[in-house]
Amino acid sequence: MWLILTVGIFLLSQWLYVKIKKSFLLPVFTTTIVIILLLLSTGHTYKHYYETAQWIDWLLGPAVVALSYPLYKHRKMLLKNGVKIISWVVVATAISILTGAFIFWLFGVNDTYVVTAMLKNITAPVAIDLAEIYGGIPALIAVLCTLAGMLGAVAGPPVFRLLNIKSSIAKGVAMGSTAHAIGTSRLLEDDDYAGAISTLSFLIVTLIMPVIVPILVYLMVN
Amino acid sequence: MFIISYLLGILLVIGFYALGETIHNYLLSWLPGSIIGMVLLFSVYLMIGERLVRWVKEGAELFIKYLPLFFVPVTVGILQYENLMSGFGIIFFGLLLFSSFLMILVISYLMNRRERDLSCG
Repeated sequence: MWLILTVGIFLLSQWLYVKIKKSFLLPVFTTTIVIILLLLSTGHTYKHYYETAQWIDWLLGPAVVALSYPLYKHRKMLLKNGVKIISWVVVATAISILTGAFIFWLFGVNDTYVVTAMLKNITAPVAIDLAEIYGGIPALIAVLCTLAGMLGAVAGPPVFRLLNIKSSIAKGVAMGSTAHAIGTSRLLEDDDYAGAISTLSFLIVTLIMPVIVPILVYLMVN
Repeated sequence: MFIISYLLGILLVIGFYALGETIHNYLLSWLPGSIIGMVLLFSVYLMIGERLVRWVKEGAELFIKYLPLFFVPVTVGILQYENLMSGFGIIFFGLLLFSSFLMILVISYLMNRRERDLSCG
């Protein structure tokens, strides 16, 4: 029941989105809000919802695997710009930690929250694993990653328009290193090449964070 | 022909996901199965090339087209976190969302400027 409802609402919001083309009508965003309102008004719990919706959730795995196709399609350009992309992703990650976890650490916020804040721009499954290993809060990080992803997908394109950003590399790295797979799927809508760069960027984040986080935890947390 | 191309693509992608999950369970517990599967399938594309890609790309594109839908069960999970509305919750989420916003702004602006400099000689 909830499975069919989710797919139905998604298709409907996608139709609306294509018709009106406003960033805040992003289908993931509107579908999430409608489902939450429906659950709240009918008094159902998330656990009840997840019982059937888990089949949709399962497809997320293969869909991430499928991202290897745009990566392959643009392999030559990615290889040529590889070093540049990796260095900028590292810069982005540094900004992420300095303007997030580091500030909480300065103000003496509880360690569990500092660790959780470090993981905010990683794709959710990896972030949840890292939170479990290094003493973050898994439920909280899932929400945080989702919010970062949706923020990127909704606010990213208007920001690019406002700053007059034309470069696909700039869009791809900014989006991929901030909004991981959710932002990537937004970029893939209208710029295949930017989407491939975004895929590579969030792949790099996914590969370097399991190395950086333990070092930061060692330095910042007792 | 058309349907076979879809089916082959979908099966290949799911197969590599299963392979990635297996490797995740036994060898690389710090990397999720989907990421392992992505890297492996990418390597196979590189090794076999167009001959393989031609047969499977419709299936792969189908997954990518509906990628946003697959996030919905996770995003609805926000519902579970009631503390979102406490004083600390608002500061915590507010600052971290602002931090992410700053990342997009600063990185895209700086990179775009560098790209322009390069293309202008």
